[in-house]
Amino acid sequence: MTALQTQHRIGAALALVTLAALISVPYWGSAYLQRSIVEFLYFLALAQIWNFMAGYAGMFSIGQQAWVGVGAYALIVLAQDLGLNPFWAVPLTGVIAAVFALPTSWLLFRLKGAYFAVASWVIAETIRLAVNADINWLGGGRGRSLTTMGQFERGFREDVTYLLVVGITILSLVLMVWMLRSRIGLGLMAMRDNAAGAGGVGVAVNRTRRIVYLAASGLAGVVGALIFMSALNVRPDAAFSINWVAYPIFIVIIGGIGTIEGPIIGAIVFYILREYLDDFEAWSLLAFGLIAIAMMLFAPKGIWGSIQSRWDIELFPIRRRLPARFSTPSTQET
Amino acid sequence: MTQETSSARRGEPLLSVSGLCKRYGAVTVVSDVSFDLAAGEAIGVLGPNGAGKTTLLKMIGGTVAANAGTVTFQGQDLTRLSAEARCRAGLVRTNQVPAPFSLMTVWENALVAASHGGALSRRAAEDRAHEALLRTGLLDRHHSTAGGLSLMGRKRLELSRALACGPKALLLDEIAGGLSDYEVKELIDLIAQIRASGVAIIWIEHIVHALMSSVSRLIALDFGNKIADGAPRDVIESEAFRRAYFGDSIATAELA
Ligand SMILES: Nc1ncnc2c1ncn2[C@@H]1O[C@H](COP(=O)(O)OP(=O)(O)OP(=O)(O)O)[C@@H](O)[C@H]1O
Ligand SMILES: [Mg+2]
Repeated sequence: MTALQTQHRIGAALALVTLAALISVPYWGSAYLQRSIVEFLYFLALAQIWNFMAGYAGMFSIGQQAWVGVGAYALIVLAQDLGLNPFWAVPLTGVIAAVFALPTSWLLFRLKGAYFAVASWVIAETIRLAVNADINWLGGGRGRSLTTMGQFERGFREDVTYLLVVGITILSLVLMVWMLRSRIGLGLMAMRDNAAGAGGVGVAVNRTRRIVYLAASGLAGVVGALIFMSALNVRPDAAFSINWVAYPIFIVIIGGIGTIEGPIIGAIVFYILREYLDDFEAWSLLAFGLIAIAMMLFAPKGIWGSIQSRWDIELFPIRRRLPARFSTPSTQET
Repeated sequence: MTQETSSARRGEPLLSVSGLCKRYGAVTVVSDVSFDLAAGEAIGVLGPNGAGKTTLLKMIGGTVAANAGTVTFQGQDLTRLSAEARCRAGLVRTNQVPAPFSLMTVWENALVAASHGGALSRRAAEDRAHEALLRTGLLDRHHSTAGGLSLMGRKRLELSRALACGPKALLLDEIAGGLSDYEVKELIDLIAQIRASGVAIIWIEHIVHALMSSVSRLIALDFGNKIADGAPRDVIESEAFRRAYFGDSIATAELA
């Protein structure tokens, strides 16, 4: 009991220190550091989102780039065409991505496993091709620029974008911890372990999946809007790039699927590896693939999962334990 | 609200199964099975391996879709409803092959059932989960990971979870296999307690004496057909039942 509480305190302390450090970076860090952190965080956020879908709700999507792209283009339309303040448009991009995701869920939820995965990719490709084919409104293959960002001074723009990225990462993390601690979370963990069994004890499997799918799509849309708010230019190839799902999958597999801590560790490993592998360009993708395959073969639970199966560690208080009021001498343990 | 309807419809069966059929390709696995289960009643289901017992129970529980027939529970037609909806309505089934939530603890397994199947708020769900584990004797292992339990432990977990859902009718599929004589006796006591608390039971079991001492009625299946239905003694001694088990030395020895 006390060991666990200590772990949760350590987790909370780590989270607070990290948060304080992150928020204060604009005051002391270089622009380069700030940009690196932004890049790190949106991969972390995308990984957390994918982990939530695949690791808990059993939806192995390889089409999350669809919502990244939709979020990016939604920002263009809202800010460039409708004249909204781009910063205030950000939450709306999430809503738009979720609205676009809803009809795709009607199709996808009829499919299982590999068929779900392939169909999710086909949907993403279809959206990319549609945007690519369009010539005027969305700029076709050449894309469009977010010139309206020019109204803000560069330092201010980068700081706000930075804080928004920190915010969305924290928000997706908090949302997930909160959801997992709730009744829905119990159902999700049960679905992760045995979906049919979960239905048998009353978990509304399909409804829960839909909630997760829409939340994940909306969050991915917001991340997409933020990515291209710093890039200032959106092209279909970049917005709907498979990298927006491939790297997050790598991060989750390395760190440990179905845990909150796993993707954080995975993202750190990914970031370090990428610094080294970047020089090898195309080969780096191959290397990531091989590392992921090796991990799946030899440590399928990932780094954090392997740690957890050896020691009973948990940094975020998600698991439920027998409340103290039931403890009798015969049931007291450790 | 459903409770009011059910008490208002006194005299009507709690569960009514009518004309259930299941075919896999050209093979008919369950063929036109009908019966009623009264509130608080306990029915045992017997039949050789492959007779279609599990399939019948799955159709009642909603995990297998019937090709024909209806399932009526508390006056409501559930035939088109999913297993999760039936579970929340109080019709709960255990799995013959346990389906534990392997990475979760025994406690969390019971808690999922109580909070979803039982649709209870946090504290009430904890109370219910605690009570279920206490009854099945798994409380001592509340901290164990469900995937690490023995087969018997997993079967007991199935029962705990089903109880935590707060069932009105409990569909049990071979929960006694592999138990010692003493444990079977404990299980019989537990079933009696569950019945006494007003829960109706359908229990598939190959251990005939356990069934005989727990149920007031037996149904025998063979090749998907209901071949006997009635008081346990009458069913066991019926011509049709003996023919179905002809050559099955264990059953005949036990009956002699
Ligand atoms: N999904 C399926 N596809 C094809 N055949 C099936 C399927 N499920 C069950 N069967 C067949 O249906 C028949 C009845 O199976 P069922 O599991 O209902 O029998 P049972 O009476 O429960 O047997 P046991 O005592 O061995 O548990 C068997 O012949 C089985 O092979
Ligand atoms: Mg069976």
